[in-house]
Amino acid sequence: MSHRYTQVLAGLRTADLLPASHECVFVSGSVVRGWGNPTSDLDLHVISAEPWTGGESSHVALDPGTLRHEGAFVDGVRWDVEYWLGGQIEQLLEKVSWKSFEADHAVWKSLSPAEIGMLERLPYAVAVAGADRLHEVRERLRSSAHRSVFVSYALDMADSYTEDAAGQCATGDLHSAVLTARLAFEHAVDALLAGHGQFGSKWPKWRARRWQEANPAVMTFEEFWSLATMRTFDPADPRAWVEQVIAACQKIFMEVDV
Amino acid sequence: MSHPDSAAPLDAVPRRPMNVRIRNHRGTTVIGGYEHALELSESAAFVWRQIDGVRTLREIGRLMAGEYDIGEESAAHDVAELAAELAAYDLLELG
Repeated sequence: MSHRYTQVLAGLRTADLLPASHECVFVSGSVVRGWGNPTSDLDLHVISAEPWTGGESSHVALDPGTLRHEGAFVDGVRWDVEYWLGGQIEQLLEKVSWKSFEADHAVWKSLSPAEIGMLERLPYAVAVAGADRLHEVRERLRSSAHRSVFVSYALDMADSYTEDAAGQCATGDLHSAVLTARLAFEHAVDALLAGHGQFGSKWPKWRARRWQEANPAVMTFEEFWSLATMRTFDPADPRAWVEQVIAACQKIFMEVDV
Repeated sequence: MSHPDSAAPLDAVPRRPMNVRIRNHRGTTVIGGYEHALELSESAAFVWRQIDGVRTLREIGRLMAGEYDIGEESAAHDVAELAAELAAYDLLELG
């Protein structure tokens, strides 16, 4: 366990947010990645055999189909706690198995936002209890189609927006094409970064950080940043910028392996 | 699917259509447009990578000749044939 999080279990117990028995408790999110700031939440995940009954619920495409969430302030920091059942984690791993992916490359369509979040956070999580369970889950994830699922997800989204941008350009709807090209580029970058194991499509605010971690060869950070911040956009010629961005997307597509 | 009698002019500048989809999976590259999709051979994928909206087919042929250690004339001819085929399937624009 990281020394930074030694007080987490005690904090959960004090706040009555820790189940009597649990398979694993882990910390994830920006704080764990070293990107935290004074306003960052601490994201906690509890995996147990018995369902948590307090807090609020959200939907997942698993059985049972709900997750429970609790929130607390501890020493001035907001803690967001998510409660998963061990069986839900098993179903999630099955969804991203090679068998599932080979049967349907668009398996990502079966993932709810909370499931995507869990799958994107697991690779960087730090256990505060049940480190063996977290290690086992991560090993199974590493040998699964996890990376391919997220690359496909981002590529499919990028394709869809690229096609839309082309159609909008064809009809002269250039304002829409500019916005759509931006979205295509963001998803293309997410595909590239997922290919490098830098997952985080649910958290676009960290895309620059993830780029710097991955340091992909296809273009420099400055080139990526220039496009992301629309530095070359000329209001008098929006089509040129759209074409430049879509060409950059295609350059990325060529270098991404599903 | 090839059209041995048709070849694009060597001074044409190829461009990828905006709506083309590209997938690399387990060593294969597939490109697809609105209606058609084609699996590219390794050398065709190399050609596809060299398309930047500036190089002519002749220049791409020169790069291909260097990559595969073949004659420039033969490489340029292959590139021109490939370009014509892709253009016929709306997977390439020739300017």
